Amino acid sequence: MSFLRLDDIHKSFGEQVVLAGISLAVEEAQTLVLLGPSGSGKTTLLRILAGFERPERGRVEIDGRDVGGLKPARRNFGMVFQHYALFPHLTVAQNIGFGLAARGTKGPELDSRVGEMLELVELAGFEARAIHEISGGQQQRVALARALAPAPRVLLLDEPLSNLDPGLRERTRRQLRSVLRRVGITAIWVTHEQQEAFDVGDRIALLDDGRVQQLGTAEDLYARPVSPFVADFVGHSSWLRGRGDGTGRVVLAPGVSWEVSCDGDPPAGEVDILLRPEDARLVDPAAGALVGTVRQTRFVGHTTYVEVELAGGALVLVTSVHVPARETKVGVEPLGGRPSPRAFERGSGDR
Amino acid sequence: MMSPSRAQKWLGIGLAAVLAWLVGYPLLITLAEALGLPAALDLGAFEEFARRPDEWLALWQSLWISVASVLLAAVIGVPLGFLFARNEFPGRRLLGSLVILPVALPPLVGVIAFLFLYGESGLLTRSVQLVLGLTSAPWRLDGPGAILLVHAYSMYVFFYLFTRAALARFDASVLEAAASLGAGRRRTMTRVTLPLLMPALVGAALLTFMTALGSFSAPYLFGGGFRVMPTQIVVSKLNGQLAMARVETVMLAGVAFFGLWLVRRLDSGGQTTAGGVRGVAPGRRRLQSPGARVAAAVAGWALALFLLLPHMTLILISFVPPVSWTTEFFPPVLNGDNYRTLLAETERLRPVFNSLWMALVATAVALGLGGLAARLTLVLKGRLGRSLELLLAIPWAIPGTVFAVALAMTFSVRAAWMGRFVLVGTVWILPLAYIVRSLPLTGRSALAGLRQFDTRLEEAAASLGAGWSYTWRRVILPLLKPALAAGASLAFITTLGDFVTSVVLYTYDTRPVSVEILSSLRLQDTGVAAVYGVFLMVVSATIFLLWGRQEDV
Repeated sequence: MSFLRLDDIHKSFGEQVVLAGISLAVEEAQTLVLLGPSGSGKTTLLRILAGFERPERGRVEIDGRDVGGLKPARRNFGMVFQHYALFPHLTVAQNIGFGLAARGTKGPELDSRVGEMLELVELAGFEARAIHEISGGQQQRVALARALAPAPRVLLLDEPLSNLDPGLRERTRRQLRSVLRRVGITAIWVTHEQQEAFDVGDRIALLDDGRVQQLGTAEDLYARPVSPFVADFVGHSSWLRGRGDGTGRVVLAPGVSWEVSCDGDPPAGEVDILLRPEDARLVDPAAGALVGTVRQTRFVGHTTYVEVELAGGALVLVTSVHVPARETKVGVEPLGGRPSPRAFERGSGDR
Repeated sequence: MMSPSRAQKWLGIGLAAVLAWLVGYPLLITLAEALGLPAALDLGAFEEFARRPDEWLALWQSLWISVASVLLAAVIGVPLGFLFARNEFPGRRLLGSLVILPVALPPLVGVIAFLFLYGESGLLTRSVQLVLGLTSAPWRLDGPGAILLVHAYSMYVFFYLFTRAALARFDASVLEAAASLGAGRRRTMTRVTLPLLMPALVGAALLTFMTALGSFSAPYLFGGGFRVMPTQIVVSKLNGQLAMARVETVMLAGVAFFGLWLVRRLDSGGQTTAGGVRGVAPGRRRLQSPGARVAAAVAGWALALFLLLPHMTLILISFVPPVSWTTEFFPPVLNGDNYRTLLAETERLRPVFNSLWMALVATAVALGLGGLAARLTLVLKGRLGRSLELLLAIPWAIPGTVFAVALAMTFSVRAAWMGRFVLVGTVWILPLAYIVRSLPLTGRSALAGLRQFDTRLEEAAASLGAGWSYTWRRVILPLLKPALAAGASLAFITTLGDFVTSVVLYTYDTRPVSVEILSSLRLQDTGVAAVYGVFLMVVSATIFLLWGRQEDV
């Protein structure tokens, strides 16, 4: 039995359906990331978990007990807010101790727990500072310490890194992840950044249109997306057209056929083929390869992206160590020794 | 924001009922009775109003005095706002707080201070008369000119404050963009700065118009034969012409609502807030040439002297013993007799005590009701929330005389089943009226504070296990304190010096300081009147300065 369960959650604001039947389960001490574009309903789902919104239908269970009727203050769910929501009139220590003091903890017990939390987020010595006297990254850690101080059963994080600049974001992400592991808390982390989701999530639920599009590990989502939407949302993707022959091979052009993978029976008929840049390679424009012209090259440090326009007009992105000149003719084929490109029946998603 | 609970909904309904009874009901009763209801629809009183040229004249005079007050106040206040927001010169900070002083003082105090300075036997008038060797006073402080002088003196502050606040919020990069596109100073002013200032100017104009329309002290004391609607209403009421007073009240309320509607319409014309991230206001320009600096400083101090002279005169007069100053240029004797008289006679201290306790009670109740209504307005939203907000705003849009008369008419009838009780003549009617008049001040400032309040802080407190009372005590109230203090200070100052409501509703036992000032003046007891004025002035200024300190923090 899972530690935290969401069962068939529905929520609308007026006419607009925001969540259309969400069911999810999280194991104890694991981090589930809710990933999705803005408007996908992930923040609403988090607010329902926290008790700030009420679903029209559905259950929220923790340890087998329905907590849907409990007020936010009685749920014992900690929350880290997008803009931290630190109390501007209180010091760092008073912020961290707020939840404990609200529950009646005081004196040395309060001080020692606050001290412990400050150590945890590496902010010892900052207790007397005002909130406006510390940096954005430090505020982020105070928000985390404040949420963890009352020892909540579940920690909710609403885009916790979106306010930080990129360099700081990566460092803070590592710190947050390590604190979550050390404390061993069950966490729900909302983000719209794929990289962040892959980095912190034990499992990831990709949301769109108020529905879970796919639930799985980062590898599941990247290598085995269940729909073109998931494939597009997670990583770079190029799309090619072809016709399946029902045996697991797809004809892309006269004399060019590739082996593909898919869920269910091998496709027969029109298909869209997903090609990740690192799953393809550039070859001489000989027979048996898709032929195209190099239109652009983009050096990004660890590799170079080469954009190839195929004869039919489709654009394919390929990573390559060797960088061809622009306007040269090249061939493109799947890289051997990796899972075959995935094929989706035409019209199976919003491509 | 979390969705409202059932308890909050019921509380909202209950509060809306109480506010409707206090604010909306008296106005409706007045309208109904003016129409002859509930007996039968009878427009006789309106026909009588329409037949009388003096009524039309009063209505017309109210209108043009109000419009002229707006123009005059704008002509003084807007340039001052620019001067203080954009330029740096010696004494700017001190002068900046002095120029808002007139608005912090009760209107009646300003009016009697003017009387003592520019009146027929005023200090300045006498000086000019003696210097020029005239046999009579060189001018008379009465009629529309005197009223406009007082209005311009006290109401330019609205334009000054609104302009300064808007300029402080101004994004300097907008001006730089205009300059980079080749716009000169003049073009930038007319095409960029003024259009962006428009909402602030419209707001100031509305406030000035409403204040001038409801202004009572200046027309009452200086108007002479020049009647405006508020004085006309009080005269009708005092003469026992209740039917006419009702119609006049309805007409004045109508004009006020029309003004409000008109300004709202004008204001909804365009989008003036730029989207995206807001920039930084342009810095102050230090006046470079020594000549300009000296000129600015001299002009500034001359202005300060002009602003402070009435109040200094008031203090001076409070030290002039009775019948000691006859024809001299300057009072020959100055001592503390008036203060001693006042402190020695309990009957004379009574109004001070009355004003203090009534202002305190009214402010406290208005703070509670207004704060609760503001909070529920935001929590409930929807129709109930909007009704609460409207009920909070109404007393602001309605001249004080209208409310006073409406309350007097509603609460002089015993009909408990209709929510009407006899309160007129009791100790309760004035505090009740003060509460109604204070509601927009406390309610609107609480609303403004709560609108700026980040509701996520409340959610954060809830997620940390804090119940509502803990959240209020530790989070909401501490953060709301400046807004609540601002509303409470304004409400206290306004009710402490209130004249317009008091003169209609006071009883001998509850007579406040303002009414006592008037009767002292009538008894030629100018020294004692001045002492009362000094009392109001000192208390108001102290509270105003304390509140200013709080703002700085």
